[in-house]
Amino acid sequence: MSKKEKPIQHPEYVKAPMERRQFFGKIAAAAGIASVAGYASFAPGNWPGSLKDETGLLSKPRHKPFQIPDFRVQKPTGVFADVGVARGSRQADGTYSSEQLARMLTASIDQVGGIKHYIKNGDIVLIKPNVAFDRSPNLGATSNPEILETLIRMVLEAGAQEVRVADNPIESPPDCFKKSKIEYATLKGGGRVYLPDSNSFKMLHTPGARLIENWWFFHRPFLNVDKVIGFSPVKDHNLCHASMGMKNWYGLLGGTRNQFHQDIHNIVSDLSIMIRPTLTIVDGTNVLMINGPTGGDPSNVKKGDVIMAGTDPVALDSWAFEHVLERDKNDMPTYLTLAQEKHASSPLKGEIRYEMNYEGRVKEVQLG
Amino acid sequence: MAPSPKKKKKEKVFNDRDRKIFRKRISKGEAVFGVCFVAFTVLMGVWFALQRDNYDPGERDVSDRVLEAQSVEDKLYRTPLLRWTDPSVAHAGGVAAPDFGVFPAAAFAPGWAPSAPPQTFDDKTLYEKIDGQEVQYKAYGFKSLSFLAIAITGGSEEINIELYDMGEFQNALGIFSVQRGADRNVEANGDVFSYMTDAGGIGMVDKYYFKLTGNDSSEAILAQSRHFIQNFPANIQKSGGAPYAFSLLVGKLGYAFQDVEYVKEDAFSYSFCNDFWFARSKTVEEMRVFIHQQDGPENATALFQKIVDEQLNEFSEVSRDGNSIVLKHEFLNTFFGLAQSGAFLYGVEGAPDDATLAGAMKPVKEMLDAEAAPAAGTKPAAEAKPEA
Repeated sequence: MSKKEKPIQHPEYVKAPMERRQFFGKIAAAAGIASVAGYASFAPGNWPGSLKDETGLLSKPRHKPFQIPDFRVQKPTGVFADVGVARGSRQADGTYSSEQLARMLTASIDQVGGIKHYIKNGDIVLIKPNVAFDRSPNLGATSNPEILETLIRMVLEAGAQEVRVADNPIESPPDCFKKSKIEYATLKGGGRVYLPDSNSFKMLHTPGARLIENWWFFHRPFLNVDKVIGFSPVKDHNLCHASMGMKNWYGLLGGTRNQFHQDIHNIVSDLSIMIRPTLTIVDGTNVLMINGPTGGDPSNVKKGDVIMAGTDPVALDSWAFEHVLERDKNDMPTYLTLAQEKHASSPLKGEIRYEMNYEGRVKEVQLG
Repeated sequence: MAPSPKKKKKEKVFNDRDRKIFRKRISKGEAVFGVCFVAFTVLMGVWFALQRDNYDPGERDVSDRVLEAQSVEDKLYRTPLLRWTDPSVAHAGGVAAPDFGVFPAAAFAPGWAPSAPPQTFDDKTLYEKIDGQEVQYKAYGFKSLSFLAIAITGGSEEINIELYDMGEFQNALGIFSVQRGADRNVEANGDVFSYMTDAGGIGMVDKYYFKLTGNDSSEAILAQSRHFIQNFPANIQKSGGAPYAFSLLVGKLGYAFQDVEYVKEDAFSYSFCNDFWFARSKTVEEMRVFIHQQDGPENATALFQKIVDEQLNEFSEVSRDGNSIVLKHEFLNTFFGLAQSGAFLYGVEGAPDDATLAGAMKPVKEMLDAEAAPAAGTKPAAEAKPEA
């Protein structure tokens, strides 16, 4: 078949003629577009509408802050305690059996309603231990791995579909998780470790926070999480006098967070409104009494006999400061007062109390 | 010859219909497929947009168990790899010597080797290692931290070694005093002042403050810690040695090392009182002797007056004799004595009565008066013979 027999254009196609007026109109439109594009491209950066980016600031990424959900759960009706305390005795060799630790942990949570009240079937639960340092657990600078393992098992047995364990130590995270034995305990308990990397952080907006209203936050482990549990040791702190449940959340901050040491009480109190956990569990079995937060001498670690759980982190820290760290009630860290005030003025405060006065809100049990 | 329409249709690859542009109607199936295809594409685009950077690779990881179950045994022959050796490291018998960084190899017993490369931190990066406690070290003139983790071959024991260069002897002593329990006995071993813990040792030598922290309370860890304390000081770079005030308190007045404390800033809670040496009394609880050296007698006189002026807010004057004054606390009823001898200020705080105060100040006065006060303010560390 020859080319002539196969028309390229449709046989009914009629060429549209252009009038002079139309021609000039199109030329004007093209010139207008070219002028606008030329202006936007070549006009000096400070002229309105200019796209010239001599400083690079225009192309700087703009991070849209996100807000973290409220993970709190109202305690069951009829339960008066906001803080549950369980004491237990050690074995003859001075250690705790894993069964005893499990009993103490269960008993402390039972005082505020029991684990099944707070964890529901299918929940994804994040546990935040204190893994701040590349130290072995005997120094009391990091969370107790045995209790963590017990806690993970307990949460899984309560119906959680997944337990995540995360922290953002400034020292090498893999080394910290390994030496503190938190990684081993997590995997043994059936949890999953989330280590931070450069893509794990997002800008978090915390209304009412003084220092971290918009700040980098270790976000990745929080994806799709339903419940959050803080699990921390009780220890002396060189700057803020005591590091307990509330200070533990400092480990979720990214960026140059060391600058906050200049105003340590404000940053710790900001943490109390940054995250509202389902439960806070504080371990008083290995208490770093002096030289915190890093320690270094096992003799600085008191062999305590208590595990605490609570829905009110302020009351919990106040009780632990006085009864576990054995400090004077009149020397309470300023961050506790600030946390109480910030929570009271927060629009997101809800029904759960955040108060330093723990009188009548602590239920203590003694196990054999 | 032109092909028949039937043959022309057969030449079509996908269907035998006319091009859509020529068709007057489109089949229902094609229309439904088109709508579905567009909807699918739009939905996929929406999903991509919603995902943004929420993607969590970990959630889609194939689990280790599945990988392990589906793995096959690798029987490929591999050429044995030779251990890489750093050409800059001295070789012994073809094997690179372990890199102990600033630490002398003699400080490590056989069988111990670094488990990670040595690290160094300065005042800008110290928080990376001891976040939250760096302020305490910086208050005592911190210069650098050398960190080394060592592990025993074939065992689980590990020791973290932190060596803080505090710049001067008194800074090292200051941080050592602050972090040491008040009742902790310190052993003197040559220039090294240290004590053993259940899992290592803590001490100082010259301008260095060190902490050895084991991961357990094992004999191997304690043995290596003792080895380090005995052998480490041989090769270190030393500073000017112990200041005269320390030598006087420990060497001549006989105070035990653990009773001596150096306060770099804010002695007596006064911002103008810096570089004070204190020694706890062995006999009277809460009583401390203190010594301070100024640049010259004039400055010492000015500081003397400033302290007295401030103290008189809480104390009442009991007696004054030339360059010496005794004050009594208005509520606690304790006595505070302050005196000047040349460029030195010395005194006693917390004395229960006037006579005890005088008894504690007398030997200090005699020493300072008898000796010509050194202009430089320091004497060799060898003069310090502490009472262990």
